[in-house]
Amino acid sequence: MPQAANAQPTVHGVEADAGFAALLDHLGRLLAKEYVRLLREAESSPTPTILPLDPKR
Amino acid sequence: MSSLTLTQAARVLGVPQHRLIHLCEQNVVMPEVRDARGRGSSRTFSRRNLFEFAVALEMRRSALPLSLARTVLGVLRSFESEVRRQIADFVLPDSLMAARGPRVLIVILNGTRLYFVLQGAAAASAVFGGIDVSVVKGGRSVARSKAKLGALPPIDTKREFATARTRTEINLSQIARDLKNLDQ
Repeated sequence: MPQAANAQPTVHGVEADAGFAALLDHLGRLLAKEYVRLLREAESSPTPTILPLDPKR
Repeated sequence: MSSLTLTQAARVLGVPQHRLIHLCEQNVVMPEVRDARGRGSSRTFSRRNLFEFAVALEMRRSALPLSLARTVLGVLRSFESEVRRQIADFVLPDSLMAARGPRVLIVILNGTRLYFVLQGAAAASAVFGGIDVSVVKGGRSVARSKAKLGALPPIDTKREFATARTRTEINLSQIARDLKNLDQ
Protein backbone atom coordinates (compact mmCIF):
# COMPACT_ATOMS: atom_id res chain seq x y z
CA MET A 1 0.00 0.00 0.00
CA PRO A 2 1.58 3.33 -1.00
CA GLN A 3 2.25 5.67 1.88
CA ALA A 4 1.37 9.33 1.92
CA ALA A 5 4.33 11.56 1.25
CA ASN A 6 4.20 13.00 4.77
CA ALA A 7 3.69 9.65 6.55
CA GLN A 8 5.96 9.09 9.53
CA PRO A 9 8.38 6.18 9.23
CA THR A 10 7.70 3.38 11.63
CA VAL A 11 9.89 1.26 13.83
CA HIS A 12 8.19 -2.09 14.00
CA GLY A 13 4.78 -0.53 13.71
CA VAL A 14 5.31 2.26 16.19
CA GLU A 15 5.52 5.82 15.04
CA ALA A 16 9.02 7.05 15.52
CA ASP A 17 10.98 10.05 14.44
CA ALA A 18 12.58 9.77 11.04
CA GLY A 19 16.10 10.04 12.37
CA PHE A 20 15.84 7.12 14.77
CA ALA A 21 14.08 4.86 12.26
CA ALA A 22 16.77 5.64 9.71
CA LEU A 23 19.49 4.81 12.21
CA LEU A 24 18.02 1.41 12.99
CA ASP A 25 17.66 0.70 9.30
CA HIS A 26 21.24 1.79 8.68
CA LEU A 27 22.53 -0.39 11.51
CA GLY A 28 20.62 -3.41 10.19
CA ARG A 29 22.11 -2.93 6.74
CA LEU A 30 25.65 -2.57 8.04
CA LEU A 31 25.22 -5.69 10.09
CA ALA A 32 23.86 -7.57 7.06
CA LYS A 33 26.80 -6.63 4.86
CA GLU A 34 29.30 -7.88 7.40
CA TYR A 35 27.24 -11.02 8.07
CA VAL A 36 27.25 -11.91 4.36
CA ARG A 37 30.97 -11.21 4.13
CA LEU A 38 31.75 -13.48 7.09
CA LEU A 39 29.41 -16.18 5.77
CA ARG A 40 31.02 -16.16 2.33
CA GLU A 41 34.47 -16.19 3.91
CA ALA A 42 33.56 -19.24 6.00
CA GLU A 43 32.03 -21.03 3.02
CA SER A 44 35.08 -20.46 0.84
CA SER A 45 37.58 -21.65 3.44
CA PRO A 46 38.33 -25.39 3.48
CA THR A 47 36.30 -27.48 5.87
CA PRO A 48 38.46 -28.48 8.83
CA THR A 49 39.07 -32.19 8.83
CA ILE A 50 38.96 -34.07 12.09
CA LEU A 51 41.24 -37.08 11.82
CA PRO A 52 40.37 -40.19 13.80
CA LEU A 53 42.65 -40.89 16.71
CA ASP A 54 45.17 -43.61 15.97
CA PRO A 55 45.39 -45.85 19.03
CA LYS A 56 48.77 -47.22 17.83
CA ARG A 57 50.48 -43.87 18.26
CA MET B 1 5.16 -25.48 11.20
CA SER B 2 4.51 -22.47 8.93
CA SER B 3 1.93 -20.66 11.03
CA LEU B 4 0.89 -20.91 14.64
CA THR B 5 -2.09 -19.94 16.70
CA LEU B 6 -1.62 -18.06 19.95
CA THR B 7 -2.16 -21.30 21.86
CA GLN B 8 0.50 -23.12 19.83
CA ALA B 9 3.01 -20.27 20.11
CA ALA B 10 2.54 -20.07 23.88
CA ARG B 11 2.98 -23.84 24.19
CA VAL B 12 6.16 -23.89 22.08
CA LEU B 13 7.66 -21.01 24.05
CA GLY B 14 6.46 -22.31 27.41
CA VAL B 15 4.83 -19.07 28.52
CA PRO B 16 1.27 -18.00 29.32
CA GLN B 17 -0.67 -16.59 26.37
CA HIS B 18 -1.16 -13.22 28.04
CA ARG B 19 2.59 -12.54 27.83
CA LEU B 20 2.49 -12.92 24.05
CA ILE B 21 -0.66 -10.81 23.80
CA HIS B 22 1.09 -8.09 25.79
CA LEU B 23 4.03 -8.09 23.35
CA CYS B 24 1.59 -7.74 20.45
CA GLU B 25 -0.36 -4.95 22.12
CA GLN B 26 2.87 -3.09 22.81
CA ASN B 27 3.81 -3.40 19.11
CA VAL B 28 6.93 -5.37 19.93
CA VAL B 29 5.75 -8.29 17.79
CA MET B 30 3.26 -7.83 14.98
CA PRO B 31 1.49 -10.99 13.80
CA GLU B 32 2.57 -11.60 10.23
CA VAL B 33 -0.07 -14.12 9.29
CA ARG B 34 -3.17 -12.58 10.86
CA ASP B 35 -3.69 -9.89 13.47
CA ALA B 36 -6.62 -9.75 15.87
CA ARG B 37 -9.48 -7.71 14.47
CA GLY B 38 -11.91 -7.10 17.28
CA ARG B 39 -13.66 -9.32 19.78
CA GLY B 40 -13.58 -13.04 19.06
CA SER B 41 -10.89 -12.84 16.37
CA SER B 42 -7.56 -14.51 16.81
CA ARG B 43 -3.96 -13.82 15.94
CA THR B 44 -1.85 -16.17 13.84
CA PHE B 45 1.92 -16.07 13.86
CA SER B 46 4.78 -16.91 11.52
CA ARG B 47 8.01 -18.66 12.49
CA ARG B 48 9.70 -15.29 12.37
CA ASN B 49 7.14 -14.04 14.89
CA LEU B 50 7.98 -17.01 17.09
CA PHE B 51 11.64 -16.02 16.97
CA GLU B 52 10.73 -12.40 17.75
CA PHE B 53 8.73 -13.55 20.77
CA ALA B 54 11.65 -15.68 21.93
CA VAL B 55 14.08 -12.75 21.63
CA ALA B 56 11.73 -10.34 23.41
CA LEU B 57 11.01 -12.84 26.20
CA GLU B 58 14.72 -13.47 26.71
CA MET B 59 15.30 -9.73 26.96
CA ARG B 60 12.47 -9.40 29.47
CA ARG B 61 14.05 -12.18 31.55
CA SER B 62 17.10 -9.93 31.76
CA ALA B 63 14.82 -7.09 32.88
CA LEU B 64 15.45 -5.14 29.68
CA PRO B 65 12.66 -2.76 28.65
CA LEU B 66 10.18 -3.41 25.85
CA SER B 67 11.42 -0.34 23.99
CA LEU B 68 14.80 -2.04 23.70
CA ALA B 69 13.24 -5.27 22.41
CA ARG B 70 11.35 -3.18 19.84
CA THR B 71 14.61 -1.54 18.81
CA VAL B 72 16.45 -4.86 18.45
CA LEU B 73 13.65 -6.39 16.38
CA GLY B 74 13.57 -3.29 14.17
CA VAL B 75 17.27 -3.70 13.41
CA LEU B 76 16.77 -7.42 12.74
CA ARG B 77 14.07 -6.72 10.17
CA SER B 78 16.36 -4.36 8.30
CA PHE B 79 19.18 -6.92 8.66
CA GLU B 80 17.06 -9.70 7.21
CA SER B 81 15.83 -7.72 4.22
CA GLU B 82 19.37 -6.57 3.39
CA VAL B 83 20.84 -10.08 3.65
CA ARG B 84 18.01 -11.39 1.47
CA ARG B 85 19.04 -9.00 -1.27
CA GLN B 86 22.23 -11.02 -1.55
CA ILE B 87 21.07 -14.44 -0.38
CA ALA B 88 17.56 -14.92 -1.73
CA ASP B 89 16.52 -17.76 0.57
CA PHE B 90 17.76 -16.16 3.79
CA VAL B 91 15.00 -16.18 6.38
CA LEU B 92 14.89 -15.68 10.13
CA PRO B 93 15.25 -17.64 12.29
CA ASP B 94 16.27 -20.73 10.28
CA SER B 95 19.14 -19.17 8.33
CA LEU B 96 20.86 -18.14 11.56
CA MET B 97 21.49 -21.84 12.13
CA ALA B 98 23.80 -22.23 9.14
CA ALA B 99 26.59 -24.48 10.34
CA ARG B 100 29.38 -22.14 9.30
CA GLY B 101 27.49 -18.88 9.59
CA PRO B 102 28.61 -16.19 12.00
CA ARG B 103 26.91 -16.05 15.38
CA VAL B 104 24.78 -12.99 16.00
CA LEU B 105 24.64 -11.55 19.50
CA ILE B 106 23.40 -8.41 21.14
CA VAL B 107 25.31 -6.85 24.00
CA ILE B 108 24.02 -4.13 26.29
CA LEU B 109 26.66 -2.27 28.26
CA ASN B 110 25.72 -0.55 31.50
CA GLY B 111 22.06 -1.18 30.70
CA THR B 112 22.06 1.72 28.28
CA ARG B 113 24.15 1.09 25.20
CA LEU B 114 23.20 -1.50 22.59
CA TYR B 115 25.69 -3.30 20.34
CA PHE B 116 25.34 -6.04 17.77
CA VAL B 117 28.20 -8.53 17.58
CA LEU B 118 29.05 -10.94 14.76
CA GLN B 119 31.33 -13.83 15.63
CA GLY B 120 32.82 -15.60 12.63
CA ALA B 121 34.43 -19.01 12.84
CA ALA B 122 37.98 -17.72 12.49
CA ALA B 123 37.88 -13.95 12.34
CA ALA B 124 37.74 -11.73 15.37
CA SER B 125 34.31 -10.45 16.35
CA ALA B 126 32.87 -7.48 14.51
CA VAL B 127 31.05 -5.07 16.81
CA PHE B 128 28.44 -2.59 15.61
CA GLY B 129 26.87 0.10 17.69
CA GLY B 130 25.98 1.48 19.87
CA ILE B 131 22.58 2.89 20.36
CA ASP B 132 21.97 4.71 23.61
CA VAL B 133 18.83 3.00 24.81
CA SER B 134 18.31 5.00 27.98
CA VAL B 135 14.81 6.38 27.76
CA VAL B 136 14.78 10.06 26.95
CA LYS B 137 12.02 12.61 26.80
CA GLY B 138 9.07 11.21 24.89
CA GLY B 139 10.02 7.63 25.66
CA ARG B 140 12.32 7.28 22.70
CA SER B 141 15.80 6.01 22.56
CA VAL B 142 18.54 8.02 20.96
CA ALA B 143 21.49 6.92 18.93
CA ARG B 144 24.89 8.24 18.27
CA SER B 145 25.49 9.71 14.87
CA LYS B 146 24.93 7.46 11.88
CA ALA B 147 28.60 7.52 11.07
CA LYS B 148 29.45 5.91 14.41
CA LEU B 149 27.13 2.93 14.05
CA GLY B 150 29.50 1.04 11.79
CA ALA B 151 31.97 -1.60 12.88
CA LEU B 152 33.91 -0.20 15.80
CA PRO B 153 37.69 -0.19 15.56
CA PRO B 154 39.05 -2.99 17.80
CA ILE B 155 40.68 -0.49 20.13
CA ASP B 156 37.37 1.30 20.76
CA THR B 157 35.56 -2.00 21.23
CA LYS B 158 38.15 -3.16 23.70
CA ARG B 159 37.98 0.06 25.68
CA GLU B 160 34.18 0.26 25.75
CA PHE B 161 33.76 -3.38 26.74
CA ALA B 162 36.62 -3.33 29.25
CA THR B 163 35.34 -0.28 31.09
CA ALA B 164 31.67 -1.31 31.24
CA ARG B 165 30.24 -1.81 34.72
CA THR B 166 27.67 -4.33 33.50
CA ARG B 167 27.36 -6.38 30.36
CA THR B 168 24.23 -8.25 29.25
CA GLU B 169 24.72 -10.60 26.32
CA ILE B 170 21.97 -12.34 24.36
CA ASN B 171 22.88 -14.92 21.74
CA LEU B 172 20.34 -14.62 18.92
CA SER B 173 21.81 -17.56 17.00
CA GLN B 174 21.37 -19.80 20.04
CA ILE B 175 17.79 -18.65 20.48
CA ALA B 176 17.19 -19.68 16.85
CA ARG B 177 18.74 -23.09 17.50
CA ASP B 178 16.72 -23.61 20.65
CA LEU B 179 13.54 -22.83 18.73
CA LYS B 180 14.44 -25.49 16.20
CA ASN B 181 14.80 -28.00 19.01
CA LEU B 182 11.46 -26.97 20.49
CA ASP B 183 9.77 -27.54 17.12
CA GLN B 184 10.89 -31.16 17.00
